[in-house]
Amino acid sequence: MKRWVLSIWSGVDQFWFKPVDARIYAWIRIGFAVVALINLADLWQDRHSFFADTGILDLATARANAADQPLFSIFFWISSESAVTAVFLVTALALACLGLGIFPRVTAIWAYVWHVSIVNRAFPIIHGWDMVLRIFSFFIMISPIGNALRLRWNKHRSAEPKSLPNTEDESSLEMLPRYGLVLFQIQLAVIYWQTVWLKLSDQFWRNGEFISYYMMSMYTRFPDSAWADRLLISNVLTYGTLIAEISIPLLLFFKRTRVLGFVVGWGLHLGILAMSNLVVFSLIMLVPYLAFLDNDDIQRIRRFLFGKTGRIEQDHP
Amino acid sequence: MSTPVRVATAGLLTVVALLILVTMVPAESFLRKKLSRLEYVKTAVGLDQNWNMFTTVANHHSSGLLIQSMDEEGTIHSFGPILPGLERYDESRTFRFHTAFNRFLTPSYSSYVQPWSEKVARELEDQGLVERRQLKSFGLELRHDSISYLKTIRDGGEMTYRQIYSRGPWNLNETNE
Repeated sequence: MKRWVLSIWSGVDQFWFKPVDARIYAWIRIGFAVVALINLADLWQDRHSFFADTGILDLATARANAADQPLFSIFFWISSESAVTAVFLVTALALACLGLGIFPRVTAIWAYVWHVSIVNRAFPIIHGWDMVLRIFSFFIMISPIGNALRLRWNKHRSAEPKSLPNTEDESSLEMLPRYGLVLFQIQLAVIYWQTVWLKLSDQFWRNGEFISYYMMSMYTRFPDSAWADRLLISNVLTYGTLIAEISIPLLLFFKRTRVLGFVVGWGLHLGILAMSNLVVFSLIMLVPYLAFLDNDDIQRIRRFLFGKTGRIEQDHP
Repeated sequence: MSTPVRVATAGLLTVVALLILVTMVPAESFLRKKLSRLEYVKTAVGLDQNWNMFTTVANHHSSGLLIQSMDEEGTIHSFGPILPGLERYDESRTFRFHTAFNRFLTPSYSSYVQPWSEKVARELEDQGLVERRQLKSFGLELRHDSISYLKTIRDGGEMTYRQIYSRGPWNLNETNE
C-alpha cells in the first residue's frame, strides 16, 4: 500500500514539480508583459469612457451586477477621471517592471489585480483577449519567477543599471518547478478545444463559409466582396482552422511533433494578425506555446541561434 | 520545499487545473449543472471563462453608433454616443464601443442603457445643446452594414444591407427630472 501511494506521489510530484529551465518562465513573463502593455495602450484613449463614472458604463450598475457574485475591482472604489488615469500609469509602470524583472512578484500581483479589475468593472467592453490576459496573469502570479532575464541593479552603484545578465553563464542552469507551465499548457488546450466544440454547432463553420464572411467583415484589414466567390479557399481555411485548433495542443504535448505544433499554431495566429485587426488576441496567444518547451528544446534553440553546444542536466536541482 | 508543503501545493494546483478543465464540460449538460458551485470559485479567482469568440459568423461589415436628437420643429440632430463629451464613434480605432452598445441591446446588459441615457441627457444640458437647439428628445441608433448571403453577392446583389437598431426615445425634460 505504502509503495503504491509513494508511486502515485512520485508521478504527481514529477507532473507538477519536475525542474525546467528558468528562462522559459522568463520568456513567458516578458511576452505577457509586452502584450499586456499593448492592451493597456489600446485602452488608454478610452479609459474615462470605460472606467470613470463619467463614462458609458455606469458604476452603480456594474456594482449591482457584481452584487451576487464574488467579483472584485479596484474601479469599484476608484472612479474619478484623474484616479483612473493614475491607476493606468501605475499599471503601465508595473507591467514594464514585470517585463524587465524588477520586483517581479509584486508587479505580477498588480498585473493580476489590474486584469481582474478591468474585466469586472467594464464587462460590456471585454473581449476574449482580456480574459486570456486575466487568466495568464493569475498563472504568472503563482508561478516561480527565478533570476533569468531580469534587469539587475548593481548593489554598490545602485544608480547604474547592469545590462541583462549573460544567460548562458549566469542563469542557464537555473531550474524551477514546472507547475506554472503545466497550467499554461492545460489552459491552451481548453481554449482551443472548447472553441472548436462551440464552433461545430454553427452552420457557417460546418458548411465552410465562415472565412468568406470573416474576410468581408469589420474585423479584417482588407474586406473584399470577392470572398463570396472564393468558396474553395474559404472551405480549406475554415476546416483548416478547426483541424489546427483540435490538433495544436496534441502536437505541442508530444516532443516529436512539437515543432510542427509551433509552426501550425504560430502560423495560425500570425496569419490572423496579418489579415485582421485582432492584434492583442493574436499576440497573447503566441505566449502559452512557450510553456511547452522543455530543457532539450532550449538547447536546440540555443544551438540554432548561437551555434552553441552543450546540454543542460535534466534533473538539476 | 518540505514534503507536506509540496503535497499541499500539488493539491491546490490540481484544484486549479480542475477549475480550468471544467470549462470543457458542455454548459447544457447535467454534469455541468452539478459542478455549478465550482463556477463561484472560478469567478472569485478570475478563472471563469468561455471561449465562444467567433463561434457564430462575423456578419457586420461596418457599424455606426449615433445619438439622434429631435428638436421642437422635428429636425433631427446627430451626436456621438461616447461619454464623456458625446464623442463620435470611430470603428477604425477600437471595437470596444461596438461591442458595448451591441451588448446593451441584449437583456443581460440592458440595465446599462438607462444610466447611460441619463448621463447623455446631462451632457446635452451641460453643453448647452438642449437650450441652443431646442432639443426635446433623443435616442440611440446602431447602424449595421450586415453582410449579405454569399449566394446573393455572387448573383450580383449588394455585399451589405443596412440594419438599424434603436433604443429610446428619451424625453429630455423627463430624463432630467
